[in-house]
Amino acid sequence: MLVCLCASGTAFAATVQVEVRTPNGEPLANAVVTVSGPSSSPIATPGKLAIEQKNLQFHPYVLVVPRGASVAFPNLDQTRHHVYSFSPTGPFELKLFASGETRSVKFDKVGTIAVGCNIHDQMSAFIRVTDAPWMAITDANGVAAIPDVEAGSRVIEVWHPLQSGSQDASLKRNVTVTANAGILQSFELAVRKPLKIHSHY
Amino acid sequence: MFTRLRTRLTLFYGGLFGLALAFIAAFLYPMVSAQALKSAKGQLEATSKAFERIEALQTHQLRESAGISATDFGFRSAVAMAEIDPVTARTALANLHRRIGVDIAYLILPNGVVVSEPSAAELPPELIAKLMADETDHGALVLERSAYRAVAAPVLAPDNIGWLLVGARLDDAQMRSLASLTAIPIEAELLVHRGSSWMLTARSAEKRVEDVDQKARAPENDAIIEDRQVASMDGNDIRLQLSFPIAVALAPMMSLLGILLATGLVGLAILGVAAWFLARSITRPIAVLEAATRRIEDGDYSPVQIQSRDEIGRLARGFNMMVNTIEERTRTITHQALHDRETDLPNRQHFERALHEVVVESGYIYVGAIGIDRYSQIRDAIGYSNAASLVAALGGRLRERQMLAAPARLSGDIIGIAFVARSEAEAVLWLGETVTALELPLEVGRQRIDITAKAGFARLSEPSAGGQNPIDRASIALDQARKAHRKIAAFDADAYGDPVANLSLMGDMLRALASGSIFLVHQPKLNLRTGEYDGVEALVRWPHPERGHIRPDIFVPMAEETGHIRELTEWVLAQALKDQATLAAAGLSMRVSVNISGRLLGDPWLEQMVDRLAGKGLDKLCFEITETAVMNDPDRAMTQLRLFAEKGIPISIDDYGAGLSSLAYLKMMPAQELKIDRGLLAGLTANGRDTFLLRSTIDLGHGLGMKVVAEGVEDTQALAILQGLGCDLAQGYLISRPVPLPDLIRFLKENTHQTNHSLRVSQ
Ligand SMILES: [Cu+2]
Repeated sequence: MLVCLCASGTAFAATVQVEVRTPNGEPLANAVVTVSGPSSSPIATPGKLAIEQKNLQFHPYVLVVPRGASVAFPNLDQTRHHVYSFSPTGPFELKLFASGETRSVKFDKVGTIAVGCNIHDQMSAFIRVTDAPWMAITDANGVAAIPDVEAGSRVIEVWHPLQSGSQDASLKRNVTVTANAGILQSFELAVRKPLKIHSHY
Repeated sequence: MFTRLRTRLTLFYGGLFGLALAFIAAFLYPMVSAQALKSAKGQLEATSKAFERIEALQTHQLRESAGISATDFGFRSAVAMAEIDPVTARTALANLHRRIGVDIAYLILPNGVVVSEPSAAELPPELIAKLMADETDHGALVLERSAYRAVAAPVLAPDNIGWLLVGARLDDAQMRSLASLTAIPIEAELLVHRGSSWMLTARSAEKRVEDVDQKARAPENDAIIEDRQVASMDGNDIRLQLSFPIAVALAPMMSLLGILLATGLVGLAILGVAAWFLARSITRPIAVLEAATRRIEDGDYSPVQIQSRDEIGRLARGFNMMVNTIEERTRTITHQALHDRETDLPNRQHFERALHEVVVESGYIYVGAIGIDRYSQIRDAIGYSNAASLVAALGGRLRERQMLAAPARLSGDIIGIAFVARSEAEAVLWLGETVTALELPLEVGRQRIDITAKAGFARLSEPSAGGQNPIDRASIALDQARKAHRKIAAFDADAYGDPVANLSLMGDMLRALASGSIFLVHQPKLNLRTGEYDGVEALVRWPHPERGHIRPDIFVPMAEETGHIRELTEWVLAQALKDQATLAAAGLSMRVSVNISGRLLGDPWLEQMVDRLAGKGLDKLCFEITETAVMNDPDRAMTQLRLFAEKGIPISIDDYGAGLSSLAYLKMMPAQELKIDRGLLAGLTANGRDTFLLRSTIDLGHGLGMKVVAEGVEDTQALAILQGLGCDLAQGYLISRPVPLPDLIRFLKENTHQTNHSLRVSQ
């Protein structure tokens, strides 16, 4: 990827591109990339914050939200779901809502929320709640591009739900963002295989 | 060993069958035992496979129970809160434990914390590490002294918030049900490697468990072992050991062998009995034949009775034929052995046997030997065959007399007979009659033949016989008769002596010659013309210390037979010379006559002897030699006599008229003296025939230029007749007995002055 300069948005800002690969060199999708900054006020993320239930799966698999954000759980399936999380960061339970129904949950703590469905064991999603002002999720190429990162001394943090070791840990790196000078950072992250869910149906 | 054919046959067949049986067993045993072991091994392998399936099934069941439990929402929420609320988590685990009915249940949190019931054993850290590392989720597990089959199911919410580990104990009951899967009684054991030994955690055998910690794995040679490694969760070496004792595996085969052995023994017994009977049917006729051969040894030639038509029957018939032939031949041989071939008369052996069996009620048994005179001349005249016929005919004649045994031919010209008589006189009489009867003319081969015979006899059992055979004694008696020119003679033991004693007698004689106990006596000869004693005849005397006086006619012939006559003669010659010297010293110079044995005449030794003594006055002696001595080998005898004559030794012919007198020899002999045998003087009367014979003999001697000496002059009448007939010298008891030298000297001295004594007597 080439470093790309963007003049759009705020002045004295630059785009931070992060590339995440496994130790094998494979691009790692669904990695959460956040860039912290001195300005503590979070920047509202573009787009709606929601995890859909569709075709007995959560979409998206990984969602990153700023602290205090509400995440909607719209049910697009004909079946009902019982969405829950036991994660201490933000345990919740949305029981048996009907098709087309949407419920929202507000997350006030920074951390990881593992989301499951009590009816369908194979359904799994993760919500990463962060204080960082800039955030993104790597695409199928393992690349996340975060635009308009204010210039200055910053910390890039990379996290993945299947990362080896503790779920609470993350890869961190200090970088200096120069205005109008985009940077590309490469991260390597080992991951587990996704747990096989034994289906008894 | 086993000298009986029956035993051998029975043993042989029995042995053969036994050997065959042993071969079958030897082939069968390894085959069947290998089969049995293979089958047992197969059973163990099948059981081991079954254990694998059971293992999979149990794992599956555990996983299902654990999986369902792990997805229970309430349980999951309790697990999610375990760090904050461990009591709830523990009770939830206990509840689950009860609900799904497993032996152990543990909850392992992602941070390695283990939630368990208070009584539960502690999980090994290796297991937790493996779980964390996602290296295991099922397998065997050892807690304290027990093994478990366990499954770890992740608790998902929906990410992994912990593991639920449940397990069922691998206990004795499990081992038993595993063992019961096979038809054979195997043993199943679960062993865990602990350091250097093996810990037994479960077993199918309902034995008391002892020293399980130290249980060594069973050695392969006692049992067939199937060993299976059980997949473990915690890295322990856990083994399922299926074993089956080889002894038990081989037991059915052993019973099979037992049956084989039993049937074999029964077969062997049947075969033994059958072989025994078969062998008996063969050996019984053989035994009969064998008994028959033993009977033959005892002279029983009766045929064997075997009727069968097989080889044995043919053998028996052949045997009988052979026995007949042998019997025939034996009879012939026996006859030949006991009979004379020429005449078919019994032989000496037959005669001896017959004598053994002779018994008489009264009187004595006598054995006679009848000798045909001049048999060899007769045989030469009429031929051998006719001579044999003659003997046979004589035998036939003798059979007509009263005999105790069949007359037997003892030698060519002697026929032995046995007869009974009350006394020796009667025996002489009877034998005389017999010989007379035998001498009747007979015709052999169309020739009329006159024979004469002589007979000797002896008592069958004579106390003084000294163990001599009676036939020998009779034969000796015949010899004695022949020598004495008598018709019949009884055995004279004294005259014959004892051959054994004779030999020792010769030894005695040699010693006596050396010691001087043999001495010479001298009988003077009276010169009938001058009335003087012209000479003496030296005679040997031997007073034996044990046997008394031994007559010269006993020991001289013995010395002749044994060759000791040389020593005797040498001594006599030497002694005669000494005595002559003694006489000469006493003024009685005269000729001494010495008897020279006919045996020595012609012997070169005698010549040497004469040469040796030639210078010692041998020519003053006179050699008296019998007429018959010359007749044995006239040429040599004559030559030697002439030699002696040339040396000046006078020769005297002794015993003239006793034997067959040959004028031819008489004429040739260089003798100076003729001694008339005393037999011619017997019954001498003035005008008898004997006087005529005597006169012609004296005239014959004078005619040949010899002086004539008469021997055995015992009365004055005879002396007068002799003197009248012109006889030169006389010798006899009338004049003097033979006397020792001192007596002779005294006698001669007393009579020398009466020179006319004898003349006076004769007149
Ligand atoms: Cu659902």
